[in-house]
Amino acid sequence: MDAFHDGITGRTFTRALGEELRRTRERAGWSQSDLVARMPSHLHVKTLATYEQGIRQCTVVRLLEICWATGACAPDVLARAMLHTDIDLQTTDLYVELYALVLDTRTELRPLRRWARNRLAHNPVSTTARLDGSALQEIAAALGVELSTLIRQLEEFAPVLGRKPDQ
Amino acid sequence: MKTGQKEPDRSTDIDRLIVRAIGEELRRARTTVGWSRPGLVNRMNSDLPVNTYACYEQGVRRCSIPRLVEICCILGVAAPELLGLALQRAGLGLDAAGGVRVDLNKVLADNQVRLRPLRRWARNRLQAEPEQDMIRLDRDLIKELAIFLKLTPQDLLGALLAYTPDAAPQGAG
Repeated sequence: MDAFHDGITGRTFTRALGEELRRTRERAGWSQSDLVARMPSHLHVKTLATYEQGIRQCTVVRLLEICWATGACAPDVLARAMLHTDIDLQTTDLYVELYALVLDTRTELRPLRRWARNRLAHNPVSTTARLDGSALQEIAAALGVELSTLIRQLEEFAPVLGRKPDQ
Repeated sequence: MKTGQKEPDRSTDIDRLIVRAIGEELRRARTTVGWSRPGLVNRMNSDLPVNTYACYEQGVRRCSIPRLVEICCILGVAAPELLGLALQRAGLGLDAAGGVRVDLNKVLADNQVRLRPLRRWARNRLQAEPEQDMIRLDRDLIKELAIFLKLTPQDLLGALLAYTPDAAPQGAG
């Protein structure tokens, strides 16, 4: 089943996009009429409904209007819709207990401690940091270490419930 | 065929800006691949008139999302990337664009002394994934990275914007 090529102009994709638009709106906690009231173009509620149901195709301008009104990121909304039509992305989130990292004394972890201290200074309440795959990649590159090394180092500081130890 | 019904012309400035930004990005992606407009349209499954496509590129006609995805697919670029790059180039906001897209080759070509750590990051990044020379950094990521590069987030953002890719990268989608 080639859902992707079949679905682009057809129903699958339009429905996936509609579904994402609905989720975006609900995340903002708004009804359909709340949302159209906040859009500068005064879109008709029924038109919004047909977008969300995947009956009518929406334009780039409309997508952006909806995203701006709800504070969502349009490229991400589009990517999720495409994702649900077919492709999958990697998600490798890592959780780090910041206090545990700050208290470590190994020299090679000094830059990471600096980062953890910084995080805590900015937001002392959130003591666990979540780093996704791209954050890890950037940090590894900034430090000049292998990604796998960085992950191994940080995994030591995973909270008990964060990442299941699989060895 | 009812791909996005025609609307009375109430398009605001921002609308026009968006439509033009998308058109500009499509043109950049197409010329990067080296196709003419008919060359592109002929490769598509659906029968999109060349004139309609030309109107998209010239930014005088609104494109539907499924249409945009279809065109991007033929061009071999990821539609979300093209959309984000259009927003970035048009200066329509860091969060709306989902971050800043950076051409690592442009980073390496810069020789400002104060940006040396940034170049080191770019070099390491390219070494880790040589085929991925265009990457995207969102606001949070820029904040984290700034700490490691010993720059302020504003400084880093300013520097990164100078490395905006010339066109959406090939090979995704």
